[in-house]
Amino acid sequence: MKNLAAIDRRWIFLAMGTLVVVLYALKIPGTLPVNEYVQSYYDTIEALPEGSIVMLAADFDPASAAEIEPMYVATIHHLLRRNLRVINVSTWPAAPPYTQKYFDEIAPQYGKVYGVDWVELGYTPGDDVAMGLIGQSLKSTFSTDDRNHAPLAQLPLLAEVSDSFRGIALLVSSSAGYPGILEWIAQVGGRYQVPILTGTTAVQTTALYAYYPNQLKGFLGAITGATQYLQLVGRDTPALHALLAENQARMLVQSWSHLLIIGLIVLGNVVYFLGKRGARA
Amino acid sequence: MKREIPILLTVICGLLITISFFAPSSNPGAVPPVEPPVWQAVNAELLEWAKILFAVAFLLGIANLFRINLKQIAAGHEDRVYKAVLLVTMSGFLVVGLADTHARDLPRPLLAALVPARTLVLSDGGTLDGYVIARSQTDVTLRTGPGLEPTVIPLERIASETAPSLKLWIYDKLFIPLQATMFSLLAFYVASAAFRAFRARSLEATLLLAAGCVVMLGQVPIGNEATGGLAGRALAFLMTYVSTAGIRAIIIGATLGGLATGLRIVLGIERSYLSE
Amino acid sequence: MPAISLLLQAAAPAAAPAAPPAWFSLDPSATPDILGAWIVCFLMLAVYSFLYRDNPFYKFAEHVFVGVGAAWYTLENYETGVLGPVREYIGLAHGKLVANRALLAADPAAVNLQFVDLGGYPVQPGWAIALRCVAIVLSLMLLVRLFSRNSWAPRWPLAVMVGIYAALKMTGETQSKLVLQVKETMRPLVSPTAVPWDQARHVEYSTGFSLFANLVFLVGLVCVLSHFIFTYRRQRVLGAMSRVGIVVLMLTFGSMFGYTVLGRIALLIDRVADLDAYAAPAYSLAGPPLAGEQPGFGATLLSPPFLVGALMILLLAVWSLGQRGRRAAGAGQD
Repeated sequence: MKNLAAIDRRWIFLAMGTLVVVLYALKIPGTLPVNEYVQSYYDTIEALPEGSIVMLAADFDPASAAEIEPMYVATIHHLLRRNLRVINVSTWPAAPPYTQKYFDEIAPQYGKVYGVDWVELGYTPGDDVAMGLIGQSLKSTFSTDDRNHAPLAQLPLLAEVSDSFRGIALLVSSSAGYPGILEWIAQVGGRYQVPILTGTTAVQTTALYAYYPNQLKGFLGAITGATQYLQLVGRDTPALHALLAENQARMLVQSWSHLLIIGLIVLGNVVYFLGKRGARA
Repeated sequence: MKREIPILLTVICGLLITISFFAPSSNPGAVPPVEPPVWQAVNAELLEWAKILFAVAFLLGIANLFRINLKQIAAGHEDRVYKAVLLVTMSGFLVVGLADTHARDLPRPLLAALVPARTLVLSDGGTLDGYVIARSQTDVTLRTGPGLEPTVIPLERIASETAPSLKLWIYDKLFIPLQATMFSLLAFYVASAAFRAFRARSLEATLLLAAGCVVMLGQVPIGNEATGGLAGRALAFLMTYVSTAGIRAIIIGATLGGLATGLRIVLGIERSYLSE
Repeated sequence: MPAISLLLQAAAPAAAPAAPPAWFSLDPSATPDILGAWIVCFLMLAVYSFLYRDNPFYKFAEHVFVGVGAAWYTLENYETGVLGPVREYIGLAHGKLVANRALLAADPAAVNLQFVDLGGYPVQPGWAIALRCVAIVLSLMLLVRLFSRNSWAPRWPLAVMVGIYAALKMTGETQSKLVLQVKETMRPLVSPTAVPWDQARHVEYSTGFSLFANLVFLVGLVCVLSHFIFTYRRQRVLGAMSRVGIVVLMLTFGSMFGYTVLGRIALLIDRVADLDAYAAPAYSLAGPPLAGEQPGFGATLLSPPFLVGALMILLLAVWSLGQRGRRAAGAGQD
């Protein structure tokens, strides 16, 4: 028991690493029941009239891409499939390359045209200030777009957007932390009465329940929320089937990793209390 | 005056932003239409100042990074080789990135050396390598040819375009894997902490661990199936009612504190940010 | 309208089957190149080597990360926070100023003058430039800090930033995190969508459960708020409420912990998936298999994750033995 209590933590690292690698290789899918918040996220986008303009905020970086990327990709597919027009912005400097990469891959599948169906405005610094500026006036926040560095006047989509968030029917934020969804709600949601959806990392998910359903119309919490959303969107989107299968396969790894953590907690406590009893004896 | 003027600036800027928040927004759809008030311009300009200062602070930060590391290399720090690696990678990436940003202004030799040219595939099957410096509704202006002279190419001549980027390659092959892997180390430390640190020594600690286990089981397929769906339902109850109560109370309490602090700053009572 | 669609079309090739990777390619839309794959695997495994112990591979990767990260953030902020709002904005405003002057020179009564859109409000170009020059002056004052740590100059831009951020957060967050949160708390104790017990498909949809759950929520919220009251002694009622509040807080923190575990493990799974992608035969030193052949196990062993991993383990073992020998020699000398 003493040996177990004093075990080198590197054995635990090895156990975790081995479990993840072996289970990932098996690629056995697991499905998840869709919760109310994910369903609401999906339904909000489905309910928008075709041609509505949606602002998609990419507020993440490579550290959170594991959780955010699947939901971001699925959201782009969903928005473009519903013929909604997208204005993409970012308050995280590491996000714009992801935006460009995914719109390059996905937009041609739906025959979308840059400047008419979607626009990439890129990163703007300032955190809360950036969001306040975007809410106040999108066109004075950005002087050119991020893709072609062309003046905004050359982009037909932006002709329908004016100050105080007018013209934009929905804000969707793929948010990894600060600045992110909580700041969008504070700077834009309440002030301009715009409906907001979000996909976030696990760490931030617990805070979002307090904002649903009035300030937040729906949310995707963590990789499990992303998988549930993929199950909904992937039904009608063959291009997402591979991503859905990949995420469902990761659910098996996730499951057993959680069981390992719970097992380690229980074992650690058993070892601790037995050791205490032995010491007292 | 050393402290009074900055405090005055804080108060003025803070009050202007606060008043702008309460000023009516423009509303062209209203009857009669509400014209944009000047407060919108005041708000936007002040926020632009903050945005520019925010960005300039990054320049300050990177200059500081250079200074500190050069000092440590000169002082013979034991990790001086690694610090040299840091400075070399940082400088190299900065040079590549700045060249990419200023492609239209760079002299020819630097441009050719630092920025990969775009390839335009023309509709007649030919290709053109160059650097795009402007786009309009009808044409693209490209620096091309041996002298990299600006050339205007009508859009109807362009079939497709490829845009190689050394800046994005470095971002993709160095930054993404490094940052993602650094954060994934936490998974191992969580496992280690689960065994070595999470002790149910009291009722409160036991409740914390129990709630954590409910969440971990309820979120995943195996946990749900093994408990006959009970874990999922327990999770839903825990998150929707119990956790939301706690989070909301924390949010309200923290915001009251934030409001008090914000008011103190905007009214010039809080001056700790000016401490020498 | 082919011309406009070409202008506005992304410069991306149409979707095509994944092409075999090139040795080296700077095209971001192409299949990841082979050199890049080896570099990515080396860096990832160098970071993971920290799990064994701090070592030269990890230190190298760590310092490369700081260098590249700092440079990327600076480049993005420079382009969007300095070039855009300063150079391009002033250039645009100056163009309008010159155009207006020409118009007024031709016709002093001209009315179709150009204005600069500032937050939706039209501003004269001259004023737009003058106001933006204030930001330039403030920025230069901030940069004085590089040369003199105790100068008065950086305090002015700092004071401006503090005032703006404090006011922005105060106004926005009071609305969303105080007013609207309190408002949302004032909801019916029985959900409007709840149905009588015998009609409910699950117990959670029944009116009884809705009442119970909302009471739990309300009592929990009030008790947690009472826990943060420090101006009264915690006796009897307040003490009991505070105790309940602590229970609710512990359950809240436990749920946060559970979600944190979920998130961290998802990051690890994604890295394993990346390594798996680079273990493909296309990246192996053995090269891709011939048409109709299955890739051999040897090809997998010669792929970047396995080969780099094996070499790293070997080198770390040698380094570790060397460290141990040096420590033993040092102890012996003592």
